[in-house]
Amino acid sequence: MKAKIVRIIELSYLQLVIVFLILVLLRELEVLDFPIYYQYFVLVLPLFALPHLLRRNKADETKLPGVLIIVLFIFFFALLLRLIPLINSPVPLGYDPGFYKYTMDVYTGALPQIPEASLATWIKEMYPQGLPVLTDLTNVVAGADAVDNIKYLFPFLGALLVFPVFMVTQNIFGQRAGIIAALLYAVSYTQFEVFTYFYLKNVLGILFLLLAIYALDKNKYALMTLMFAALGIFHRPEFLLFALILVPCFLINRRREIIWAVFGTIILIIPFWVTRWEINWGVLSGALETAVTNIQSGGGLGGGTFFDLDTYTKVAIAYLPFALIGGIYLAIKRNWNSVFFFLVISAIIVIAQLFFFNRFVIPLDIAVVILAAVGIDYTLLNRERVWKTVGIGAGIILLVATVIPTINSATDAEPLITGDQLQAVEWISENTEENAYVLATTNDAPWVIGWSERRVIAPGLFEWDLYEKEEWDVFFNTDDPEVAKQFMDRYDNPVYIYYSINESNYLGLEKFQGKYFRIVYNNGAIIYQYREGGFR
Amino acid sequence: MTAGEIARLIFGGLFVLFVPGLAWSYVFFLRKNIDWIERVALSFGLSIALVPLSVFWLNWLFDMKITLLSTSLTVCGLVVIAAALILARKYGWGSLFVSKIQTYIKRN
Repeated sequence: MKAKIVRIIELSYLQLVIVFLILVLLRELEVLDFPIYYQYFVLVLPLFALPHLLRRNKADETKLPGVLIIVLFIFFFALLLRLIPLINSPVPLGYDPGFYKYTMDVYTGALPQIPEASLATWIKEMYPQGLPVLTDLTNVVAGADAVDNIKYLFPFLGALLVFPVFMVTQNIFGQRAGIIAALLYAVSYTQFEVFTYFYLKNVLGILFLLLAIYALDKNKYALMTLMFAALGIFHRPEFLLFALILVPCFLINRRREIIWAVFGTIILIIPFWVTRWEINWGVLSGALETAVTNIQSGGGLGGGTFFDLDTYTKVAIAYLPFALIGGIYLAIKRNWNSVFFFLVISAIIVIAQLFFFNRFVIPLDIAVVILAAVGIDYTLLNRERVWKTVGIGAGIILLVATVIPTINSATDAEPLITGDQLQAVEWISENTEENAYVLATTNDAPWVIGWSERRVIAPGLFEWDLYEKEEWDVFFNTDDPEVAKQFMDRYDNPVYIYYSINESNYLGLEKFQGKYFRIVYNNGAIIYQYREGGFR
Repeated sequence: MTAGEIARLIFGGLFVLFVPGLAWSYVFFLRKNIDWIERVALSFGLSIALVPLSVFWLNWLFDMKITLLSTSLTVCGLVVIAAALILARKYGWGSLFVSKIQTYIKRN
């Protein structure tokens, strides 16, 4: 009787999986969108998978043929996806490329020295030394400038993550799960969005985080120390995440090597952190303060720029139930490994909205991808002949349903400004005085600072902003040229104003119609020159 | 971009971002312990971690300037250290060195 019930539940699981995946696929194809809560499947499916999970004992350790070819194919697929937007437009995607370019240019401009003392505070806050020092090195050895790093290094690193995702999963859960995880990473909408947002530091953070987890599971503590230190000098949020992962790992394993690895890491990052101690401490303590405030007030502060958990559950819906199944499997087997804590800790940060919680959706998705691969492998592919065929079919539907929004995003992705507008910024660098200021909106500011080679005045950004938010509001809302003149007069001439003609951009151009302003460039973007005494 | 610049970009990039890590991956894992996928991922990861760490440390301690020569020497130094560690493990130089020190301490 018991066996019969188990059999019925297992059959129901397979049927439910197929129904669920077809529903998701139809929704992604925009054929049908049923008024049902797809999220309920995330909770229901794991319940039906329980009998199979309880029976399963060990990871499948059979070696598959042609794994290298398959993983290379996945790598090239991920790379191709990331190159599609570059084929459509030479302008990089996202809001951040200008900040990156400016920072890299500041560092390469200061060569052969590292310009630590002369750096603006915002650069120290936004960019730990690892990345700009690395781009200094690629500059002196490979001749790569900031644009080369933005255009080639970033898509390459994004695709390269296929390898560590595969190796971490393979190492703990077997080769087949590794391939599924690599596939899911390559088609993940969330990971592609990291690329469209131009989060280069996040990509490097994930690379080191995965390699640190790999080293931890292989008991290679010297390697783990290096990767942990790399996190400390490249990306602080992932550094904090790995530090949090180490706590339960140490409590369970009680391995003294973990303590030594932490000491080793502290020593390795000393020169990087000592020079920016106040800033780094401010960032970490700020994160903790935000967490306390969010716990007390119910969350919502300091989420960072990325989509929220609600959106994430929609875009990752196809593989979310399987991640839960993977997590439940580890809990049932009491397999408290680093990937389990990776999932739990990043999920707590995101769900409880502790700090930087929208940005933590990115590492959370990596953990979800790994455990979803485990769930798919253990409950769909590890079965008898007929069921295995059905499982493979379900896996293919899942991949198609996941890749559709990602491919749509790759083909539709457009930079925030056009090629003409970027040319207008470059015009500034070629046709204005080297000591000029350029006033720009928050939307335009990253591009102007990155490509104009001039000092940029923008609300709330950079060291040349002398005004409070209220004063900026008055400036934006006025039509009066005299008010605009007074605003400009706090800066020594020459001063220019850059405005790209975009729907989401607002500056209020009426105020620049007086005798003090004249248009010096007008093609996709308008550039005004301001002169204190006026133009005749 | 000229062919020479493209070649410099590719080989220079590999020299900084792959070679030192490849050498160090053999310090952590013997030839047959990991497959090529793991080796490649580790090579990139280790290079991107080790090279800036080394250069920044050298700059901090000895005010080393970042030039083509100093960077190349740093990368080569990392490869040589990795090779020395691999050879030391292969020929048991580490234990030999430790036993010599122990003998020296006992004698004195």
